[in-house]
Amino acid sequence: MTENERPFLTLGLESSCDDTAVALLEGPRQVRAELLSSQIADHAPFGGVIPEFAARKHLEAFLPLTAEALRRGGVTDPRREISLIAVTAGPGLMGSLLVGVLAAKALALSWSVPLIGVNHLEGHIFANVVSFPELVPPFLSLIVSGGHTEIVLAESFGKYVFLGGTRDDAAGEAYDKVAKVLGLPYPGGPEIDRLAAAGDPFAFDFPVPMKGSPEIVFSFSGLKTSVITEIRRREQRGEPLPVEDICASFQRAVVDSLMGKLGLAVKKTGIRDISISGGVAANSSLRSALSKRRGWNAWLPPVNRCTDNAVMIAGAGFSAFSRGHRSGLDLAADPSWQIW
Amino acid sequence: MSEFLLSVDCSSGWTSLGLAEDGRGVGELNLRTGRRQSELLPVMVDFFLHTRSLTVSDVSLFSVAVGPGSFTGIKVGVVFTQFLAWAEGKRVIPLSSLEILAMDAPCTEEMALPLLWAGGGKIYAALYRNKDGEILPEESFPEGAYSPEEVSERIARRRDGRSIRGVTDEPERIKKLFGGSLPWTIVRGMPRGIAACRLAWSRRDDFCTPEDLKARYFRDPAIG
Repeated sequence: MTENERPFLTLGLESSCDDTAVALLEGPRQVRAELLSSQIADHAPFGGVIPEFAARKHLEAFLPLTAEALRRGGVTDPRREISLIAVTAGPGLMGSLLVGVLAAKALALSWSVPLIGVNHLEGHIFANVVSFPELVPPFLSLIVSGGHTEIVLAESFGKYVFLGGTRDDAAGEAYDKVAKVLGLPYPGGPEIDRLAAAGDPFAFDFPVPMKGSPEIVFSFSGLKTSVITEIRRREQRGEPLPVEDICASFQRAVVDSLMGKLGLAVKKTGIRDISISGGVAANSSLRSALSKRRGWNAWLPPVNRCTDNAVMIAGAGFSAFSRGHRSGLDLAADPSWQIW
Repeated sequence: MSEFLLSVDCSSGWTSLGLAEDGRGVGELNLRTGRRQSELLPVMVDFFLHTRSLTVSDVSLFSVAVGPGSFTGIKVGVVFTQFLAWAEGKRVIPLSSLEILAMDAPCTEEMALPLLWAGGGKIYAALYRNKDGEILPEESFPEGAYSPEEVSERIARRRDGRSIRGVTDEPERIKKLFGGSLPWTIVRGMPRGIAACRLAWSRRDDFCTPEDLKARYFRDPAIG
C-alpha cells in the first residue's frame, strides 16, 4: 500500500469535564476504536464534579486509554499511521482541558502529526454528523447537557449562529440539583428519567420555563426552585414525597420547554432538520416527544454518544482539518470558547 | 553516540528545561511563564531542542518534576513529559520539585530549605543537606505541605547547629507568610533546568516507565 492509499486516521481525545475519552476514527465516520473512562463513581459522593479531582483522574486515565485505543484500532506504528490528532480545547473545566491538550501536543510533537483543537460544542454536533451521513447543513442543533442548553443554526460545517441559550442553569444541571434534593444518586438525569416513567407528569403544575416568551431563551433556575420548594413544603408538613410524580412533573416541564423553544427556532428559521445532542438527548421523554413531532427530521445520536465522547471530537477535527484548519503547538485550552 | 537527557519542571511559576549530554549539562531554558505553561511548554521544548539541532526522538531519557507545587503546573509537566516519553518509547525519571529548588541554594555549608507556595496558608517544604554537591534529604524534615508554624517548629527542634538557608522563587510572598523576623535567611532561587538534568542524571537508575509515572500533589483538592 502506498502512502497515498493509507487510510486517514484521526486520534480524538476528550477531557472537558469528567469523562476521559479516546477514539480512533477512519475517514469521516468509521469508528475503529472508542474508549471512555467515566468518573461518575468518583464524583458521586460529592453530588457533582470536583474540578481539580477530575483533572487528576484524567491524568491517570489518558495514557492507558490511548494505548488501548491504538491497540484496538490495529495501529502498530502511530508515527506512520496516525494522520491527525484532534483534541477538545474548550469549553469545559480548565484543569481537565489542559490534560487532554498537553497529551495531544506531546503526541503531535513526537509523531510529527498535525494537531487540531476542537470546540466541545461543535463536537456534540458531530456526534450526529458522524452517525448520520444524510445530516448536512443547514440544520438546527439543540445541545443540551449538564453544562449547556443552546440552540444553534449550523449554516455550514464550521459556521454556526447562536439562536438562544439558557440564562442560568443548564437543563442537565437542573436535573442534578433536583436529584440531589430528592436524595437520588449523581448524575441525576438518568435516575429522574427512570423514576419519571412510573409517575404522573401532571401531578404537579410546575412552571414551563419561559413558556410565554417570544424569544429563544431557556431558564431552569426558577423551575428548579419551584420543585425544591414543593419538596421542602411537604417535608415540613411531614407529608410523604411522591418521588415518581415529582420526577415526572419536573421532566414534563423541562421537555415542554425544550420542545417549545425548538418549535420557535423552526418557526423563525424555517428549518426542520434538527440535531439533538448532549447528555439530556438520552432522556427518554425528550426522545419520545421528538419521535411524535410531525414535520421535523430529528437526529439523535446513539445513547452512548449523547454524553461526552471522543468519536465526536475526532469527527469534528477531521471536518475542520478537511476545511484547512490547523492548530499549533501553542494551542491554548479555552474554558469559555464559543462556536458562534 | 551521545545520550541526551531532557528535564522538564513546571511545578512553580517557572517553566524550566534542561539538557544533559552523557551526563554533562549542556543547556537550559528557564522562563517565568506563570499561567501560560500549557501554551508555552511544548513550544519551548520544540525550540530548545531545535536550536541544538535535535528532535524529541534524539532524547534517550526524560525527567520531570512530579511535585509538590502548583497543581496545574505539575499536571502540565507530567502529562506532557509522560506522553512524549511514551510516544518515543523512552523512560522517565521522576524528580522532586523541592529537591530541584534545593540545588539552587548557593552555599554548601548550610542546610537547604526549599519553599514553594502551597496556598491555604501552607508551604511545600523539606530540608536537605548539600554534601559535595549532592543533595541529601533530612529524615527529620521530609517533603510535605506545612504551615509556617510547623516549618519553624521543625527547624527549632534541630540540634546539629548548622545554619539554614531558605530558597524560594517567591521570597516576598513566603516571608510575609512567616511574618516577623526569622532566625534563618530566605534567598531568591529558582528551579533551574541545568540543576534538574544533573540531578536526573545522578538518579538515572531510578527510572520508571511512562505508564508508571505519578504526580505527587501532597494536598487534596478543595471540595467546594
